[in-house]
Formats: sequence, C-alpha cells, structure tokens
Amino acid sequence: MAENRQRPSFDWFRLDNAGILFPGQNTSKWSNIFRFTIELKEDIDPDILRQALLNVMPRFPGFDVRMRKGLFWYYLEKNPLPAPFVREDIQNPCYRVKFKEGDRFLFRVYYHGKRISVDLFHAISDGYGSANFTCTLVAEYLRLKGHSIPAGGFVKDIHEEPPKTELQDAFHKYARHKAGHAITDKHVYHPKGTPVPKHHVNFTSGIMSFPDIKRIAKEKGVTITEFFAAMLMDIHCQKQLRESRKQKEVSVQVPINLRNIYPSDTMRNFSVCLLVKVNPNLGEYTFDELLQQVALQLRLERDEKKLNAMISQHVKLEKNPLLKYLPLPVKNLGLSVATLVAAEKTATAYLSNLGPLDLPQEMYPLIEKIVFTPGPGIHHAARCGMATIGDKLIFTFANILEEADIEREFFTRLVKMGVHVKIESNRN
Amino acid sequence: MSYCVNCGVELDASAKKCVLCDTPVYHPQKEDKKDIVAPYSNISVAPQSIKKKFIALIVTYIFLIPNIVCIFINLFTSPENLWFIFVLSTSLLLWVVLVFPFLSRKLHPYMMWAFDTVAVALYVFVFHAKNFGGDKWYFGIALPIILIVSACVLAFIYWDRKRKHHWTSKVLHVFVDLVISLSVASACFFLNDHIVKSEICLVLDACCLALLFFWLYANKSRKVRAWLSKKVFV
Repeated sequence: MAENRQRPSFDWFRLDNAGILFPGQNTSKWSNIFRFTIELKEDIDPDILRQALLNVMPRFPGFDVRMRKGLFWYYLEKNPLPAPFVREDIQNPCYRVKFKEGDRFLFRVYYHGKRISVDLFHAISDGYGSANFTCTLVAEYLRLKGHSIPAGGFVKDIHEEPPKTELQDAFHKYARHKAGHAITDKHVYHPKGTPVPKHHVNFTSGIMSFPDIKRIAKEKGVTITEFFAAMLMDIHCQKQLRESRKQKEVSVQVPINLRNIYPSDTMRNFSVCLLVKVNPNLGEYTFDELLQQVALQLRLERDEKKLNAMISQHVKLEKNPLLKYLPLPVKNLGLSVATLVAAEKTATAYLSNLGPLDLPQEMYPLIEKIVFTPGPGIHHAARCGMATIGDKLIFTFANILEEADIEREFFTRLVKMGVHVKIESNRN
Repeated sequence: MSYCVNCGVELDASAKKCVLCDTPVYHPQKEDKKDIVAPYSNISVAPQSIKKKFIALIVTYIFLIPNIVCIFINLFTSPENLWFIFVLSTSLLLWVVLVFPFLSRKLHPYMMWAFDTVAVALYVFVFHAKNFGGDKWYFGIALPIILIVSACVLAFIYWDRKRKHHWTSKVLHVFVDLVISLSVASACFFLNDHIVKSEICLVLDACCLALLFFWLYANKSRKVRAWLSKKVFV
C-alpha cells in the first residue's frame, strides 16, 4: 500500500503532503503563488521563449499538470496541452491561479524587457523545484539563441528521461517518527497599515554585493539567513514598540530545504518551516542579542530528528482516517475556516533563502540577476526571498501594505553598514 | 544612475521617485525616461471574479419557483385559507435583504436601509399582525420598535459615513443604539399592558447602560485599559 502511494504515475498523481493544503487556501488574498525571475543581458524574444518552454516541458512532468477534484482529495492530472502561452509581464504578479484558466496550467511564464519570470502555484513545487525549472528554461532559451550551455547544477538535461524519484512525495518516504510534534505557537505581532487592492502585492528588491553581506555576517559569527532574520525581527520589534500597543511575540518563519538533509531529488514540495521568535515583554533586545537568539534557535531546531518529527506530524494528519474520508467540499470548508482563524497568525515575517544558485559556468556571463519572490501573505508585511548569483545577492520583499517603512528601514540599515543597495520595485 | 538623497540607495534608471520614501527623482539634464524599460510592466491584470449579479438572478429564480407552486396549490386546493401569503412574505423579506443588493449595480446605503425597513415592517404586518396580535399589537408595539431600531441604524450609517471611526467608538455607538431601542421597546410593552416583557426589556436596557458606561470609562482611562489588557492577555 505504502509502495503504491509512492509510485509516481505520469497520467495522474496525488498532491504531496504540503501541496494538499494549497488548493483549499487559494483565495484572492492568499494566492500561494511565488515568482522566480531571471534577468538576462539582452531583450527576450517571446517566440524563442515559447519554443524553449515547449522543449523543456517533457523533462518536468510535475509541472505539466492540471488540478482536478476527486471525491476526497484534489489530484494532479497530466495536461493534454503542450505548454502554457508566454505572456507579457504584468504589474501585479503572483495573483491567484484559477484552475480552469490559462489552459489549466498551474504556472505562468512572463517576459518583460530582459526578464523571464515564472509564477508558480505552491501545490506543484517549492523554491528548489521552481529554480530548477526556470534555470533549465532559461538555459534552453539561451541555447536556442545560439549559446552553448551544458546541463549541470540547476540546469537539467532536457533529453534525459525524468527520474521517477523527482515525482516522489518525499514527505511520505522519509517520515518515520512515532512521537508527535506539538504545535503550540502563540499568535504573534503583525504590522498594521493600508492594505493594497485585491490581487496586488508590492515587490521591492534590493540588489547588493554578496561578498559584502557575507563579510558582515561572518564578522557577527552568523550565517546570512540568520543575519537577515535577526534584522527583520529587530525592525518588527522596533515598529511594534513605536505603535505603543500590547507587546506581542515577534517571529520569523524560515523554510528549510529538506533535500539538504535527506538524499531526495524530488521536484515537488519538500521543505518545512521553522519559527524563530522573541518576546519583547522580556525586555528590549539589542541587535547583537537578537542575532544570538536567532542563530541559536535556528541551529537548535535544525535537527534531523526534530524536523522528522515535524514532517511525521504532517503526514500523520493526512493519514488520519477521520480527515481522510471527509468529502472534499467539507475539507475545503474546514480549511477556509482554519485559514481565516489561524493562517499566518504565528509568524510575523517570512524569509526564504534559495542560496547561491549552481549553474553551468557558461551561463553566468549571460545572466544579470536572479530574483526569488515569495507570494503575498494575508498578514505578513514582509515576506522575503533571496537568491544569489555570482557576487550579487538579491533580497526581495513581498508586502501587502501600501506603506514601505519596513523595506526602507531594512535597506537603509544595510546602507549604513556600508553595503551598496540598488532598489527595484513594482510600486509606481 | 540616481541615488535617493534620503535613503542612500541607488534607484532604478526608470524610477521617477524613491519607492522607499517617495522622494522624487530629479536630474536637470536627463528628464525623459520614456525609453528606459522599467523592471516591472505597468499592465495590471486581475482574474475574473464571480459575477454576483448572475448568481443573484439564479437565486431569484430559485426563490420564485416554490412561491409560484405554493400559490397554485393554495388557490386550487383551499382558496378560503390563503396560507401562501406567509411563504410569499418570508421569501420576499429574504430576497430584499439578501439578494436584492447584489442585483443593483451600486445601491446607496440609505436606499438599502429604506428597502430593508419597509420589507421588515411589511413582513411583520403580514405574518404576525394578521395571525397573532391584530392591529393594536402591530401599531402599538411592533411598528414603533421597528421604526426606532431603523432610526438607530440610519443614525449609525450617517455617522459612520461622515468620517472614519475607531472600532471602539463604533462599539460605543452600538451600545447607545441598543439602550435607545430597548427603552422604546420597554415603553411600548408597558403602554400595551405587556408588563413582563416590559420588565425584561428594562433589565436588558440596564445591562446595556452599565456596559456603555464601563466602555466609556475604559476608553478614557489608560489605567483601566492597562488592567484589562493584563487580565485578558492571550
């Protein structure tokens, strides 16, 4: 039985353990779509991009799908159409996906100037999968433009048969823990402000020098993720203090790529989120104290056994017979209520670090930058994504508020530390 | 290459202002930025939303069918007892309150208020006055209560539309409305010899009044607010 569940079929397959949540949460406010953008050094030709997409699609069967409804669960079915059309980019990326629109594909490909962007619904893949897909797409585009790009790193060989393990639900494969993982997080602070209109989100990217940031983080004795998480935490603590309201805990959610811990090459979701938090009621934390707190908490939580307990808890919930046999509309209703009551209530901000992208050497001179953007949240004024290419680190905020005070505080702090920051945004 | 004098960050060549602090970008030699491609397009796309008007029409037809069936059954089987009026009045009330706002393109709040008040008054008249209480019950008790509640709602709409209010003031306003409505209800019951109901209304009125004063005090006193936030800390 367990073997059958893991065996991937190219006609249809179940959503993975993390993916089952997203179709039910797909609303105009919370699209669960994130974006991966690659900026090249020359203008994009849409016809060549379309051809590159057609060439790449067979290599990624996990992306060549459409969402269907079963009696008890959603499932993914092979899309009979070859690929979605490439479109001119828009000002409001990451708007919600409608399962019957866009030829029923669960991702969209855009071009604008020198940029190629892929907006992807989280139910089919995570940051790692989308990075693989977009890098392979751009590599194929460059090949069609006459460059010689070999496969390697995030660029997959489009002529090879996709390994079955890439479609595996790795959560089910690696979940082994019997002990439950208690989820007892309190509701935390969320900044208030003027919400942006429906289907919109404000993106602000800061392009900075990777060696500079690495040097600063190293001087402080922390990693780049820990450094930025502490900065976000400090900014939110200060903001909460300025609002002179009841002081709530401030927390930052950091996703962990489980492929670094387990030997999995799945292209579907395989990450869990850790929470690092501080309680301002205990006293005012200095930035150095916050750095220490974040570093210690993250390192303590990044334990294989604890992470396994977390994924096992999620798998256990999916296997719960009471939930399992509830009809899909009832599950959706329950999920909508749960989203309304509890979604994002335990995290103040979100920070996802894709890290330095491993690409073939031939590609680096042709790429200007890579932008990884998490989609809009319901309460988060700072959903941040960062990606590194060569010596450039691109840190992007997705903010659902009109006010840009968090972004401003964040980037001006970096400027004060001596880091050169260039800003790009979809705010007009 | 332009830098924000306020934030110290480099701005995109296409930027007309600093996106972090809104400081405008001004370069005396380079004013034209039409040729520079911005990092994001300026085309905004939104997915098609569900057509509320279409759904409201379908619901209207769903409301219509049982009513027509009821009218025919009633007229053919027992024309002396017109029970279909109850079905019709209930459907009409639900339709006016729940469906009608979605059918009109942009209904003014005052218009909606007027429709709802008339619908409720007519519904109570048809359904209850004729069945249980008679004219005296309707004109002596039901109608004054409906009118005073409606007046309170109208006052609230007017006050709320005038300017943006903090939620605590809104709660205060609701308490005031409740106190007024319950006082009038109590007086109406008393004048029509429903002493027990009048007393119940008075007790509720007193509770609302006490809550109103407590809310007023809590809003003004920082000390009470601090005590409350300590006691109901989650």
